Amino acid sequence: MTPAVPVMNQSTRWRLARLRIDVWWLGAIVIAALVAIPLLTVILLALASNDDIWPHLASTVLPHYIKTTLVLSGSVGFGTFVIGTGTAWLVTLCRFPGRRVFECALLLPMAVPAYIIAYVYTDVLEYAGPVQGLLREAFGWTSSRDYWFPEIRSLGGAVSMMTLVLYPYVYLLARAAFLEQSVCVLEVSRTLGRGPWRSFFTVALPLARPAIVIGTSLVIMETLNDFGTVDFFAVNTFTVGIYDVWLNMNSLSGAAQLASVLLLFVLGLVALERANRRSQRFHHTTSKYRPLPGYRLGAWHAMGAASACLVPILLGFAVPCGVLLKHAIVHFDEASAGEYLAHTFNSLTLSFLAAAVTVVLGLFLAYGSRISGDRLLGGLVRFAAVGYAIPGAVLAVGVLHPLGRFDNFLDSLMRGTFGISTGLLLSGTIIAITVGYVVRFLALSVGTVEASLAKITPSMDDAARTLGIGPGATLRRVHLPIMRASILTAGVLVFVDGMKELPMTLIMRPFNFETLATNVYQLASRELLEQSGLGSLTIVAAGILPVLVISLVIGRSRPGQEGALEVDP
Amino acid sequence: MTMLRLEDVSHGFHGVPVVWDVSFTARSAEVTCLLGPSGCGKTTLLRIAAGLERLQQGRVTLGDRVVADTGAGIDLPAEQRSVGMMFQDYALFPHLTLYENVVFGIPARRSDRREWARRALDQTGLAGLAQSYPHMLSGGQQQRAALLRAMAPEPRVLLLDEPFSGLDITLRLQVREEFLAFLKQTGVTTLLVTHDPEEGMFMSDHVLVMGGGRVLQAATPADVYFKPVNDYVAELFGPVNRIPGTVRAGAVETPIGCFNAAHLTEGTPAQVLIRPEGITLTLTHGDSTGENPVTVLSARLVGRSTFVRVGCRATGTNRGIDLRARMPGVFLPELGSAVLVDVNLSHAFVFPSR
Repeated sequence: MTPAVPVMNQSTRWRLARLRIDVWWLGAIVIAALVAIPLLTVILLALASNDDIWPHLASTVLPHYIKTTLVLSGSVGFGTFVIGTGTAWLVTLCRFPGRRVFECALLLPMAVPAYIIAYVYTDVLEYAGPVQGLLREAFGWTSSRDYWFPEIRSLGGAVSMMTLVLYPYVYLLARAAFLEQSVCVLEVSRTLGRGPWRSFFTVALPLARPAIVIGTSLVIMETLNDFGTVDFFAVNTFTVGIYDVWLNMNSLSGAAQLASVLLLFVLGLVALERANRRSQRFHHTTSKYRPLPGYRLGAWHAMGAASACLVPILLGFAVPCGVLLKHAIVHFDEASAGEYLAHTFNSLTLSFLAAAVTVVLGLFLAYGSRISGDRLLGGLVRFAAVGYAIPGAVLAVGVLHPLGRFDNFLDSLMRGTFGISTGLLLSGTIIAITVGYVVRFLALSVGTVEASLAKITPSMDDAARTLGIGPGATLRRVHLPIMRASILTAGVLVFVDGMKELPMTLIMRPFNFETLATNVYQLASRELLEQSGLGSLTIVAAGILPVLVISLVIGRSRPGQEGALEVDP
Repeated sequence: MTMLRLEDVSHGFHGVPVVWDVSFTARSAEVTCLLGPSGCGKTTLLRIAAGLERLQQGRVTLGDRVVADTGAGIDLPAEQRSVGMMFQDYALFPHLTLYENVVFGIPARRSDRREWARRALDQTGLAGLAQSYPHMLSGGQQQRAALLRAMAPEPRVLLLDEPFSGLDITLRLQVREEFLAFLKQTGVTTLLVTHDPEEGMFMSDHVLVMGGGRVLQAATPADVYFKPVNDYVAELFGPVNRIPGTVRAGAVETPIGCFNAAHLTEGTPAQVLIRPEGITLTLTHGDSTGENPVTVLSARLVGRSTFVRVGCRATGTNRGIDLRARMPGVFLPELGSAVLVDVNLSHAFVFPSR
């Protein structure tokens, strides 16, 4: 009765699967491979090094780097967890005056790069600054021996600065998680006799754990990437070490070795984050989502809640912006007379270029892996997107080395055949920095585009195909119009991160090429902080853009309601 | 017009085969139906015909043109096959108006088709909604729009994937009729996928019953119903009464009568399948029906007909029976009433035991 099992051996199927090789699959594979080169370069450089600086490093600075990095990222992680989760719980589940304003305003510190807030608070809190001056005047102290005041330029200072501007990552994700929690589980907990505090610690917090872990690991990645703050505070982290070994000890392979250790650490974090993202899907047991009822707070409690939300906003955004604004106004003439416009132009050009390239590539990768459904490609795309987790200083090593190789190869080729020397065509140009930005920020655009693509059912693609429309035209006529808003979001996110970027730009920029960020860094290291006000303020202003976009979306992101961005006319 | 032919098609996902060596033809200007439960591979076959699924083994011919053949290394993508497909969720483009959706697949030079689309919108009563977006339309309107969109580029074959499953039952019956009239009027070759046997029978000229990745029976709707090739096909139209027995002297003997089993091997175990609608019950009003009469166990009116359960106890050599009958109209005797059981032989089938 049973007919013979059809013969479908592996090689036949492989051949058949490749019958329709399309440009999308091929293009996506090539792009993903190119983006993966810098990461592989770092690893290969470290493995293939022959001038062995490692024992020297290991016996001298390495233990110190490791300890500082661990303490810094651990403390920042803990600080952001407490502030981010606490404020998220307050604005999501408690009702007190000003809650709606706090909901969005709590995101504002995100707009301030850590190095800028570090410069500002150094200015405010150092011996000659207004705070200590005021204290001396008030108490009649005459010198620093008369009193104790915390030193801002220290590990603790770095922890505080980074916590103040990075907690919104945790806040954002924790808030989304609290919003997604079915109100039923919270009500069950309350009918079982648990008050708000115990419900929070025994139900809401464990349920939101994956989101909080993701947020905290993002924070730690940002901490590892930071160069401006730790450099300014003379806190020797790994990133500073890489910079130091490469540029001061002139050892590329030593830098690569340090970078690989950091890379290993980051990949561990990425794995942790991915594991939590996966487990997050299974958490919701019921699908009943009513508006969250919220605890009504009495006057005293309400005041406590409002202050708890107000303090991070004040310290992380209002105070630094106020100081910067003052500097910008007072020193407007010198600052704008300088090369402010040129630096702004450079920053805008770079960021815009990076945003445009990144969005196009991200779209190509996400769409290519969607239509091919190829697992190999999917894996490659995910690997390429790891760039966002790699500290800028590490990526700089990985980007510059292959570019230099390419330049030398091209130069010798051209000299050999045409007798023309092309010199360093790409290294040390704006193209090199753009490549670095693209590799680093690709994850932002791939992630955003993928999430948006996932909301378009596959039968849309199929419908277009059976109507005689090819893959490219389908993207143009169906997907792009539907995803317009998300693509814009991806572009804005990359643009703003480009405006803020410091470590990679510092290493890779062409001679005499300054962006707003590098200029602010230069001025700060020459103790000319007042003059950097205008530039810093410009960067912060650009950073507010995505905060506005995000806060527009999140309020409507409860399940069952479409995100505001995806709604089309 | 065009016929669609699949030959020796086998297909699997991640090494698990879902379609085994299937061949069939959807004849020109007819409606052919792939009928079977979910997971039997019917939608996979539809997608292979459309070119949405890469062919792994076999050959697909559309008219006189081979569009996919693993032997020859041909596999045209969907956009080059000129097929129209309607999706279960309709897949209307949310960012386009109804009119823009309908004319989406019409090439720029075909102004005649644009004219056709306008007329079709008029005829289907959608003209007034031409500028509306899909989310503003009702289920029935979306369904008609999806059909018009699939037909607008004048496809050589129309593929329908559960086209009525999104509609509620009343609307479904009405839409089905309009739909069939439209298909017959355009004379397009149609391949329909459905799990609803009534729908398959109503819509099609030719039914292919699928199960476990194979075509079990290919016949006219009447033959599928009255001449099922096995118990699986017979049960497709709803639960049946199943009475086990043994083939003796070319027949199977049961408590309610003898059934011809000349096509089965003598002495093998067999089963008699009787559809509930093939049983007629008559009240005996006290007439003697032997010491072990068949009595009414329950009777439930379900609208146009009554479901009645009847049975008799097992005694000695008699194995007893338990039958479900569907009587037209109202048939609500008192419980325990004795009845005579009559079997309409065109609703009774004898198959080997499984």
